[in-house]
Amino acid sequence: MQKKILVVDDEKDITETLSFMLKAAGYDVITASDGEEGLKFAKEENPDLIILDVMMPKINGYKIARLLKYDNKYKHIPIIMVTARGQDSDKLIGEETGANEYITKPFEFEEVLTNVQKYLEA
Amino acid sequence: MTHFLQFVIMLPVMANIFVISSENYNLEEYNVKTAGGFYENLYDDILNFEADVVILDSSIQNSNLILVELLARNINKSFEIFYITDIFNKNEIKTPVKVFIKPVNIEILKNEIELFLLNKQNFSNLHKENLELKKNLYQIDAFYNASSKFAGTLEKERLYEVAFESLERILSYDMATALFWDNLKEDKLKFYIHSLKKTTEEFNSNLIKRLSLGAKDVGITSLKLSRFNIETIQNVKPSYKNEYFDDSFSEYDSLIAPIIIKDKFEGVIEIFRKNKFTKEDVTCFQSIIHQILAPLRSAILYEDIIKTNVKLKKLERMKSEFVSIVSHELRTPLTPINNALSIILSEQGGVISDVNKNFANIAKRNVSRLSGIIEDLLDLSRMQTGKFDFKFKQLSILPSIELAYNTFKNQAAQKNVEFVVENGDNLPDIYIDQHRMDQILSNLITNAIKFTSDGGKIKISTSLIENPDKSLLIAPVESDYFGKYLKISIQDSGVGIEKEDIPKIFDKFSQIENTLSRNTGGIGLGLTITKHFIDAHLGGIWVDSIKNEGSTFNVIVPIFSEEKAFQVELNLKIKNEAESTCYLKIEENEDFEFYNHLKNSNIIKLTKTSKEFLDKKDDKFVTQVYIQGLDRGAFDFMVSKIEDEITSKNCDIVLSKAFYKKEA
Repeated sequence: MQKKILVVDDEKDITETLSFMLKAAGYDVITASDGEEGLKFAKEENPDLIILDVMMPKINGYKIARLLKYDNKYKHIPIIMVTARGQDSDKLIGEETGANEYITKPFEFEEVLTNVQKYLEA
Repeated sequence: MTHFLQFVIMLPVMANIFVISSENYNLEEYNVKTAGGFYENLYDDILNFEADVVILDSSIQNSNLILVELLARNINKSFEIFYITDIFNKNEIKTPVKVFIKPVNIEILKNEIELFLLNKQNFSNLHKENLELKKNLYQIDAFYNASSKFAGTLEKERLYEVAFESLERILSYDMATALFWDNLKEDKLKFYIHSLKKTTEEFNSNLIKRLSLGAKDVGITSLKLSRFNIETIQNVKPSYKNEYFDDSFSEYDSLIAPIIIKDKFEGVIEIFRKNKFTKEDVTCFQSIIHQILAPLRSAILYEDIIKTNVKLKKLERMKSEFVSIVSHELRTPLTPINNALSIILSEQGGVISDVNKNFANIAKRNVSRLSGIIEDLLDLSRMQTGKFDFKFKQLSILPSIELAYNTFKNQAAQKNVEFVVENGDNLPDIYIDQHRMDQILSNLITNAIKFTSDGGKIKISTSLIENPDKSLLIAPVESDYFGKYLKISIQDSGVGIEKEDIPKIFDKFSQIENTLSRNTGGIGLGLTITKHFIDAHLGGIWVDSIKNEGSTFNVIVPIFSEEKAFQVELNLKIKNEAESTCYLKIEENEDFEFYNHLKNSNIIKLTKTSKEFLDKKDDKFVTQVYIQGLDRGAFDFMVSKIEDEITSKNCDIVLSKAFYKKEA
């Protein structure tokens, strides 16, 4: 069965290119364009993995990650955080929120794919 | 003539003569009191009479005893004794008295009296002058003291304080006040008051009004008090803490002086005293005020410098933050560009022509170049805000060199540049952050390839050196380390660097100024960042270069024992907290050698050796760390260090608790 990936980013160009490439790699992709929608889809659409941007309107990525990771119902979903921030302290926050991986913009698609496969090819 | 005048002036006193004799002496021009012989209150009478001269006749009964008693009572030499006797026997009278042989010539006696009075007068004058001289000396000392104190400070408040102290020593005022600008805040005045007793707020505000009048007197009318924020600094003599000044100003004499520097009103000082000020006091006051002017001028300049410095620092921080924000923002649009190009190139959306593929590749290559530049800018802003985190470990340099070689060998080959590595034998481990070391090598090799043309050669070599010539270094090494260093040289046969340009190449954006090298790309931050990383390793960098023949960049990194390295790093971390002492309390496992090594580091003191807490079934040690007197960063560093150590020891130790407490 095709694995479903939720891509949450307020940059439409990013969700569009990412979802194209992920679809090409054989995944089912749904997208959300802000934090609120992202959280809603995460809970309702039952994704197998979430790619989550940090800086977003309404609810930021850290908060979404925390909300999901501290909820027994959703904490099994792997989360890959994507951000333009690259400082060590920010990375730490990402780890504290329980996100599984951390990717810094600008990223190569191969990097995303490697991380996705790590969680979905088992 | 003058002599004569002086003589006259010196004899205005009516001399008191006490005569103990049955005879009558003709001394009517003096104030004379006579006693016919010894009686009970004789000595008291002599003293009460304030006798200048006591004439004692030897024919009086027990005159010898009287003489002895007189001498004994005349300790202060307040009177002179004239002893009148029949026969002068040297053995009989050894004491310092004037002896007259009978019959006494009254004129001689009078002459002696005059002479004595004159001496006495002179002596008293001398004494007075001596006192005056002593006072002057004290004042000079106070002046000197004041000027040396003035010279020692650049704080305005302290300068006024010193002026007050000196004025108090010299003029012993009851109260001193000053009103002056707080230069760090435009609309703020400081009111400074030193007094014997406490003052009420109303009293203070009257004093302030007086001071502002003092300012007005010299044409400063702009001092509209209500417009200013006035801070009062009060200093009351401890012995009078509970008493208030309740007298009116009219009971005091006062001296006031405005302080004008470069035609600008700077402040005003006023002192109050119940005793009237003399002409000399006024001179003293003026001198002290004069003395304060020069240091005040410096203090004002100093304050200006501080103000400018604060502004500059703020600007610098804003600039760094701006660079950081902009760089972050630039990264976001780069991502979809890169993704879109990847999609096109993957031909998943349709086949593209070779020509288009070539252009898409050009675009993609430049996206990655742009990302590199943004990374450099981010590194720079991190460098300036001190946000780089270094993770040092005792490691071999060889893996980093190998990685660098493998990364760049293709690039060198494409440019037809020979690329070789020559490693020295038996290289010891060095204390490095591997990731940053990789960046250092990568930056230097990128430059070497960039500036070396077809057919050139690049060589990386490593060796051990001892006591390098530190004058060669681009910037002095911030450590007292003089031992062995590992040297990494990157030698190229490229364009070389003009001698006068060498000191500049590590400056920020150095390439931007140099239009000739613009065509080689980059924004010239690589070397700046490289240097920053090397500094963090307590290493150094220098370059040997000959124009058109090539350059050799030499990096040296000190070879520390692990213990020394740890100390050096910890010292750096707590450099700004010179006073801090770190206590480490370990509850368990005494023979864990790392703690001994911490103990020997001088920085850490073991306050308590631990009693063993060892659950043999679980094979687990539990340790507790208690560190005091560090700032948060140094504390976290310490704890992470201990954790690292625990991990590397491979013994199952749990760091159970780490308390953070900054010692007051």
